[in-house]
Amino acid sequence: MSTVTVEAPGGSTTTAEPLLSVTGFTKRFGEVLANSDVSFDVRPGEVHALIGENGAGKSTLLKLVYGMYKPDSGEMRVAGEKVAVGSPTQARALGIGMVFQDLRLVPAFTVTENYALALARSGVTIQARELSRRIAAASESYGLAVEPDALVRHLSIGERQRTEILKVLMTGARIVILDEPTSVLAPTEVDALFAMVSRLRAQGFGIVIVTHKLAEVRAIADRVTVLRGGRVVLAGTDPKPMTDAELVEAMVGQTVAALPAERPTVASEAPPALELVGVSALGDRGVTALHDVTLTVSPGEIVGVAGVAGSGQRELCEVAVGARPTSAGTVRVSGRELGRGGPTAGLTAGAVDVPEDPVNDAVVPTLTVLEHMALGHLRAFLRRIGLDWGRVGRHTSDINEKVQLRMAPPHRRVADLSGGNIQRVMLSRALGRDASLVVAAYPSRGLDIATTRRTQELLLARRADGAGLLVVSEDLDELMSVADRIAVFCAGRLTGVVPAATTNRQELGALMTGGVAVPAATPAAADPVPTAETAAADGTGDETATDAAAVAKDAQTGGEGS
Amino acid sequence: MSSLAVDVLSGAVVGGTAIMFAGLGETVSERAGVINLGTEGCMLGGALAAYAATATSGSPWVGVLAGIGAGAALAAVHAVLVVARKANQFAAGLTVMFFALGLTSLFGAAYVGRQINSLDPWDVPGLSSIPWVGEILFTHDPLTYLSFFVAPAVWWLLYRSRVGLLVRTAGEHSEVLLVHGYSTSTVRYASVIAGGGLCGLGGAHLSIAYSNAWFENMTVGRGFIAVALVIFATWNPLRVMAGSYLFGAALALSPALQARGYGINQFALDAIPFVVTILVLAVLGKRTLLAAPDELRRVFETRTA
Repeated sequence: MSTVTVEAPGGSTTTAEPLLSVTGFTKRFGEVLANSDVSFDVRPGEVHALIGENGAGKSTLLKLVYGMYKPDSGEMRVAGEKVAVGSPTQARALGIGMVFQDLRLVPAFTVTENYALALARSGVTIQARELSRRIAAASESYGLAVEPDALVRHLSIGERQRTEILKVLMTGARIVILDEPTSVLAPTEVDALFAMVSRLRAQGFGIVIVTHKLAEVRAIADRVTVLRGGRVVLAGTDPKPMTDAELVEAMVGQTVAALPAERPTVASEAPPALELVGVSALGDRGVTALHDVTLTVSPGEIVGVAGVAGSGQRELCEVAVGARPTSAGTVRVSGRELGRGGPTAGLTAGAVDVPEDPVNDAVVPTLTVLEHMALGHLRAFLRRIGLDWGRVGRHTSDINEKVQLRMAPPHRRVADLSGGNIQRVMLSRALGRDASLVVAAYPSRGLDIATTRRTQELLLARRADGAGLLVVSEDLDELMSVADRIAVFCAGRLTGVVPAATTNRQELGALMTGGVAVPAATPAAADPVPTAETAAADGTGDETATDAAAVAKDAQTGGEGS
Repeated sequence: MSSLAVDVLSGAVVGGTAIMFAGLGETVSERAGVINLGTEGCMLGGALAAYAATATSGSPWVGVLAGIGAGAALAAVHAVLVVARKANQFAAGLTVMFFALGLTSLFGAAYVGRQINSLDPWDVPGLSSIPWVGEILFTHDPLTYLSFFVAPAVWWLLYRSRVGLLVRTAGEHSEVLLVHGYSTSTVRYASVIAGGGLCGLGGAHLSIAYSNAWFENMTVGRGFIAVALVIFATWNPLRVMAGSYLFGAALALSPALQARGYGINQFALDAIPFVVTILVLAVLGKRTLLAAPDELRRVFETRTA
């Protein structure tokens, strides 16, 4: 049905007629105005970045364009023609292609079979051989390497994404919408993606890229549109002359002050908040996941933990609070050896944690926020054989007052909260208490920029109080701006501890891959200037969608939505 | 007199046919992401409808169609429950099974002991005179011959045709169907109902070609064996075919031994197919589930709070 043609490179990006233009899109869901008078356009041969925080209306706009929602008002033109798009099928017929964040490929099928779902509309068989030839030809002409006979299950995430993009092109798309394409990619894969996007731009496609990350806007976008609260606050502007602070301000609606660069030394006579000596531990699969780690976190110090996902961060955090038994070595919290005491020993010694995966590991969906506050420190609220709920309530409001993280009301069931709101409960519980050791895994996961910044301030406040903090993050910029020292892990081993003030991405990257020096990647994409602003913006992106999806799933199985 | 081996193998082919049809039907259904524990019920419904229609019309081919229709109708009940109403698949399937058991007992009473014009064995000219092979494969009823073609046809449909691709997508990642403008519900309805038709065909084989009789609960667990068979055949129609002959052989062992005067306890012999099922499941364990279609795995692993 569709044919593969390679278009000549599009004209100049400034004068060409838009491939797609949207004027005055408004969409209301009940009381919520998800999109309000939104206008947006994409020209041939350009990359237009659409940025904004969670809930800014980006997804709504995409779904309106792709025919998954119907706008309440507003009109849409494709190549100058006024159109009404009632379904994704119609959108595709108009040349609008969408690459979803969670790629819509069937892992058990071959690439060809997946393409057949999108392309073959008639005939008894899928004509796999013929289709496979077409894929190979398209792969060649667009310069996107795709292996037609490979099982999708065997492809890396980056390869799957490329497969999905080529599929969208083969359905005849002239406008390619990439919904947070980098959220699932490793840094090197991001470079490859951007190289691919540049090639498509040169071939005259109009590309929309949705993202949270300013570094990516800088790396690839010709124009940027910022959405906030369903409205366009910055329309189709060239991002180059703008500063990161200006872009963040547009996204957040207020200036986000940089974290104070100066860190007063906190004098303390207390024993080290955390002391690991030669600690090894088994992972969930019974294989040693932490090898002979010796690390100290002093009172009034933040030690960041960096590493490729699955390098032992989870085990490290659990060992530090006594939640995972060690197979060798000793763990001391504030001078008290945890031994075989389990999490109780950790709590008694003064350790609190923000777990890596709260939805699966640390919350009871059917309990309320208040009950979770009580669970976090049960012993403190005991009254004879019951609990002093009045005190739990007062404690909770005190914490709210102190941390200012806009935690959900105490009576709400956790099953009904979004991933970001669950994270606020976890953070409030851990940072609102007077603990000597705070172990925080991915503290800014699922949070917006302002809350991320508030969380970082709270971490620094706990540091100033004399607590020791161990902070795990995937975001190197965040670690470099918050931590005093950064401990880098590779395959369960501590490969180095470096001062955060003087290190850089290259050094950390080399330690993360086991001390082998890696050549610097494409400078623009991989190495943004680590200012406080980019750190803040990055914090919101990574895991938001997956967390939200997990929570949505939980809410479903729990039988109640929000 | 033919040898014991030929007797057992020939019995395996004809005895395994009903299980094969049911297993193929269940394969189609599960490939689309719906497990139908009502397979036993669809077989019973098919068996009685085929028998009754044959008795009434005098033509076993009318009976075959009636059997397919009855199996499909019962499966349609299951489909409404699980596809439209999103009921628990296990509960719905078992309900359909007991519903069919009761229904066929009630309406089948009139047909117990009735004579019918059954589907008789027909030796394929030429082929049936090949020594050993001829007797094992080509001295059976027409439905058994039909099964030789149905299993590869189901395989081809699932793995080579466009429709099969849609069925498998419904079982692997139904959201992808939606994205490409297909309806998961339609695909699942069609798969479950078509699967039920095959189960009904299996039942028809049992009543009008194999036993030439109707009696209450005549499938005696063959439907459940078919469900187990699909799992350890890893949802592959050709392996379902091979596996059904294994069970056919277990079924055929008992009459073959008795014909030779071996005094083995009848109940022990009847238990053989189920013992085989238990052993195979015990050996394969969780490994089978790894090959399961993703959406189906979700059905198995559903945690309800």
